[in-house]
Amino acid sequence: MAQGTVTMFQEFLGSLGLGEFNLNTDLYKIGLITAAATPGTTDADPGWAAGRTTNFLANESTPGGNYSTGGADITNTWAEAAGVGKFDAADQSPYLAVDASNPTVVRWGIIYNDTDADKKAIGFIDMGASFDATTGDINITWNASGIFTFTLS
Amino acid sequence: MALFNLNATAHPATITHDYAKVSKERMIARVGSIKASLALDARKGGQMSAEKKSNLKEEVKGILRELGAREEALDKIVESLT
Repeated sequence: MAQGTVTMFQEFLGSLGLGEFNLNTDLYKIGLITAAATPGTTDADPGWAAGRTTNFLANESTPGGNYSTGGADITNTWAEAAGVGKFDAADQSPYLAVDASNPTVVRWGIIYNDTDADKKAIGFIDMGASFDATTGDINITWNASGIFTFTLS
Repeated sequence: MALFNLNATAHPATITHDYAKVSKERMIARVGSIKASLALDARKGGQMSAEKKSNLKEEVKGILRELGAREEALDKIVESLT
């Protein structure tokens, strides 16, 4: 996996069919976690809350400085055009501005639904390596095609 | 045989630790995403919170400013969004 790779959880597709996500109006966040957990597409019941089978909150990077518990709103959007549904979000430059009190270990970003009571996760983003956010910003520029797309064929 | 195929694709993002200028292509694509999102919400009866709608419109304003749109045109463009 390379830095910036976005991977969707398989369970997300199941939840989507059950109407458990509104990709346009719900509020989504990126929570930062340490290298203590390695997210994978097959993770069972992934989310950001106690009670989830795979609870990434348990491995959250220590909040402080410009990083608040749970992470920041990504200002997501969803729309369909010409048979392609696109989930997109605001570019985050910086997502986390450097600060002496920031987390010192940031390895993965978990994209999850903050509106949902269960805080179910959609997927995760690879930060490439453990990064000390007291030494520099973390900027996230999403792909021109969005975070992910569904294409009907 | 499946009734239809739905192919999901996750697209790689760019993570940087120094200031990185967002490409013009990406900025235009983002404006398109926001416009389509607001239009979809309007068609579905306007479930989006006023705060989120306002944030999205402000984001469009910021991107257009970055792309060189004239200041006096910004409000008119944003008003035209659903």
